Amino acid sequence: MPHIGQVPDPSPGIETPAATILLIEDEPVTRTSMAARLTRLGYRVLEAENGRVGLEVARRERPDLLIVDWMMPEMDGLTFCDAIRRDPQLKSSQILLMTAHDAPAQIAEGLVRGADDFLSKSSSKQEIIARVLAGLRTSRLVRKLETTGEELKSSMLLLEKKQAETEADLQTAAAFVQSLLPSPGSPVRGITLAWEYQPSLTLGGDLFDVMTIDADHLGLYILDASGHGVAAALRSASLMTFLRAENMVQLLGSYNPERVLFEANRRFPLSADGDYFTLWVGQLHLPTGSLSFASAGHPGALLSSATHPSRWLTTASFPLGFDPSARFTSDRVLLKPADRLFLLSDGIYEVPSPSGELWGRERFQEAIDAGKQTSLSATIASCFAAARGWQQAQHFPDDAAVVGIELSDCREGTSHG
Amino acid sequence: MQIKERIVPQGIILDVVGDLTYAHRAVFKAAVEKAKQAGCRHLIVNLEQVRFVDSAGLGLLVLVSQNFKLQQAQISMLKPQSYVREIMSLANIPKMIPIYEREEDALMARAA
Amino acid sequence: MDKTAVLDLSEALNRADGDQDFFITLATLFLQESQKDAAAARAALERQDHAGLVAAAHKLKGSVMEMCAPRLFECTKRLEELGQQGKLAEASPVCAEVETRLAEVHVALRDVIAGGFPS
Repeated sequence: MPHIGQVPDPSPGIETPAATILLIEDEPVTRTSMAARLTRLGYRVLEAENGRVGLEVARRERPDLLIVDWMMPEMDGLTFCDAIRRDPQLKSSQILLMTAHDAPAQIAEGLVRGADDFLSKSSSKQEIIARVLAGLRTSRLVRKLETTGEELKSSMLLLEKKQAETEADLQTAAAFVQSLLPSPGSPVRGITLAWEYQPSLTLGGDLFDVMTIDADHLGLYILDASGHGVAAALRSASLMTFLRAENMVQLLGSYNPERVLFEANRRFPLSADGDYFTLWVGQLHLPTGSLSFASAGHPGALLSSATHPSRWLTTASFPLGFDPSARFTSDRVLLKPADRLFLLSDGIYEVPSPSGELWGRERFQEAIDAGKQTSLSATIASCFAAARGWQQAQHFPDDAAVVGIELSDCREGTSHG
Repeated sequence: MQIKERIVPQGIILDVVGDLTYAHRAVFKAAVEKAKQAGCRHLIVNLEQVRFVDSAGLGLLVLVSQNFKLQQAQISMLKPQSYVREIMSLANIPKMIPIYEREEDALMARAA
Repeated sequence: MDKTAVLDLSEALNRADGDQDFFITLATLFLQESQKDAAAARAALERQDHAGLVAAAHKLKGSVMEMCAPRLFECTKRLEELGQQGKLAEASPVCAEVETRLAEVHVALRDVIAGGFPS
């Protein structure tokens, strides 16, 4: 037979306060005797002479274990069990129902009504100790579970609050980044600008700009930060600041694409985590429509001509930061009235269909060509719709941006001011 | 993405299966780090089973290449699929990391 | 007469964890309470009150168990059962027996209280 300790289940080396047991029994001799036994075992014992009084004491003291007599006046043991199980504060209490006899039918009824265990009044001392210890052990576990559950709940609430704060911060940051993007419309006489941008997360890493450099020149770029999330967005915003027209004019005297890339490449090396940018830069000479452009690993821009087949404006080159001494060479192309130039991030065409096939550059190009007769913004919108249709989802897995500029059909016209 | 490692006399071959993308960067980094710890002089990344490499994946390859160069070690790529090859070419990666079509050629490269 | 059939003192003391002083306290309490319970049982019987009889007999039975008085316990238990079964006619003589046995136990307990525990 296993040894049953006299001391109530002490945690080794830790002084825990004695467990509190509420003893509810109407018969004074039995109650006094049982109370004395439990007290001798080291417990704090509270006594009540019936269920009604017992309930009051239980609510006040939250005892660790309730030992309840079956037959009592005022409120008997079973009614007491019912009352405890209905009480939200007490319902997980451990109840030992004390009986004068071990009739199975009564025990079954007791269990149904909410007793956890039984204690015969004729029990030996060892049996009493064993049952009390078992009841207290369960009580401790239940309370621990309840505490853990409550802690978990409050942690969750805290986390949700933090998350809401972070989300609000991100929204603020996103609004700021959006404010840096060029306003659609007519940035300069003879040029129409339209764009659509859907970051994959609140904060995107793909950014672009179209800006006046001087009376004759328009500067434009699109950049793509590798990776996702806040870190990528922050790096992008810092490169965007670097690429501002004033900064480039001050540094280089122009928006010469190969020199812009050369400077950006020197200042934005590959990060320790392997993060980098791809960047496409163009400078449009407004009087002639001559566009010089250069790319640093960027998939590039698509020239959609009113009269010729569309063509990609890109060159194979390192992204920014791969090789600090890299040199980038500009290319030149002549834009004619009604020509459209699209800057785009790879996120618009690297969208997988449900079967995993990518939409791809060719299909993107087809969508652009198919929109030649519609307005610039409608063409861009139809590209997004086609990409969404391909992936059969609204949300893009990566930042998706398409920026379009269109040269007015008659540049001497006065439709744009 | 899954990575299986094969140790050959000339170096270590990483057989990558799946997409080499931002979401899987930790797995790739861990595999490379393990090879580096093992004193690998030539790391061959087998891309035959890789359908897609995103910008983050590309960055990782370049970073690893730079790290290996600093230690007089080398990284090569094996059999990229056409789309992956296109992405690599656009970023001029072949100028930095040699691409081989046959495992034997990749293995010979270091010895040569 | 077998004394332990009236009062099994060593067993009762054992239930009190061998604490003689505490047993005296318990016994003193029993003398008061059992008298009240027995009177309540008798009154209930005279009123033909089943429930009252059962409650009183049950209560008495509980305290008798603590005192370890086997013969008194048996007849108290029988009284409770007869009450439950509504056999009040049969209960009457049993109630008288309970009163007799209880008187025996009281005598035995008073001896212990007055004269101490037999060594």
